[in-house]
Amino acid sequence: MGVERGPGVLEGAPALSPEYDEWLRELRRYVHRLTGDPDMSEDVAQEAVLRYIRATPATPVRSPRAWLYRTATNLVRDQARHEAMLRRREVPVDADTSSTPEQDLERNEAIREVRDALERIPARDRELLILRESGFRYREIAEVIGVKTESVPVLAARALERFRVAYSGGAG
Amino acid sequence: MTHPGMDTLLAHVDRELSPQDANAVAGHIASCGTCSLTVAGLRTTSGTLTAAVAAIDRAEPASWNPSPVADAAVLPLRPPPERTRAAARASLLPRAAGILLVIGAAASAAIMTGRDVLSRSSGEAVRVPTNQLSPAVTSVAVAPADGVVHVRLRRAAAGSRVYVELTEGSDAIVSAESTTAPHFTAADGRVVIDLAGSAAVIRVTLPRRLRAARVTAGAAVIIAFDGTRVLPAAASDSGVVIGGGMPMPDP
Repeated sequence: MGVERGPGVLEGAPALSPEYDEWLRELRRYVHRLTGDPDMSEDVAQEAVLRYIRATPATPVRSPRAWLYRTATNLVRDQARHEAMLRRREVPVDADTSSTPEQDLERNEAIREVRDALERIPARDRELLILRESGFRYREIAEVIGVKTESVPVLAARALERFRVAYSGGAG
Repeated sequence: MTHPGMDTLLAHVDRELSPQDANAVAGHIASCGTCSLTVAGLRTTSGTLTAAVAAIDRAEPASWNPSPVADAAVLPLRPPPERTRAAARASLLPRAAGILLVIGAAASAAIMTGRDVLSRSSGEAVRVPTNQLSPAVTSVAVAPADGVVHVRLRRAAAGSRVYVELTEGSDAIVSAESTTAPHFTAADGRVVIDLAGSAAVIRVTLPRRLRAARVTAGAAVIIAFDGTRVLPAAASDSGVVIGGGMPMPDP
């Protein structure tokens, strides 16, 4: 096979810092919580990290975490606008083979109800609630979704109530 | 004291209030049945959401959160043990089936993805001398149940050329992500992927009936498993070999 070896490119290439891997994992989970779409989660997480790598150090970033989540959030919003990814809203069935079919069914049904409820509330509410669930402080949430910090508890309380109504309505 | 607003009560639940405000609100809640109920409701809804998010997380692809099997499947590339080719092939390819994936080097920014369907047309796995392989593979994760093999090329920042080759009569979907649009060339049962990028990932989706997989990189076997057990790593100098002949039980 005609494998050609470049001029030492691979050995000479800088390794990705472990922190980037950690960001990738975090962002992937965040987007998956938002969308339920594993492929989109991978794409968005990698795109956000790559944009960060390209943007820095030329453009200093005060809070990398907020920057990355904001970028990922915007990418998800863009994708939603273009709707392409929203076709795939099927609940992914994971590879855990240790559970019984009944348990699978029960779990997948529970996830579907959650996803349905999350999709019935406005996108910003969804983002805010997921960020809050991800351990973000109000100040960080404000930075990611682009609102004033003082507004976050107001918006969060509203979002939580909308989720409660959507979830109890769907599950009940 | 007038009743605190819902936002203040939530901020209290979320421990976002200053100590002084938190004390004042806590004092009010202790003496106000209405606000006490409101806070209980907020906590309940929060708990529901937490459980819901946990349920979503449990639905993440297995390859993201490796199970005990896949966990053992994520191994660093390591130097090959001293073995002969004959011995290696005997232990690795008892069924002489699989995919050959070879990482080489070439030239390379937004993540672009692409995919191609690879069908074998003829021939056996092509052996590539070890010295033509590059240590670009940093991890391989295998999702046993859905037959997806993720090969991560973390050190491929300057670019990589990847060859995927089937060695038995079946199809596989090969997809790639890199910082520039991956370019596919498919012919004669072989796909050549020209890609670049530090976050490059190759996915080979095996047919569902193929549950077993054997993956090597360079002369080192990364992982071999038969769908339920991780088998001891063994040596090979025949490239990255993925695949196996073990049928997957019908659902």
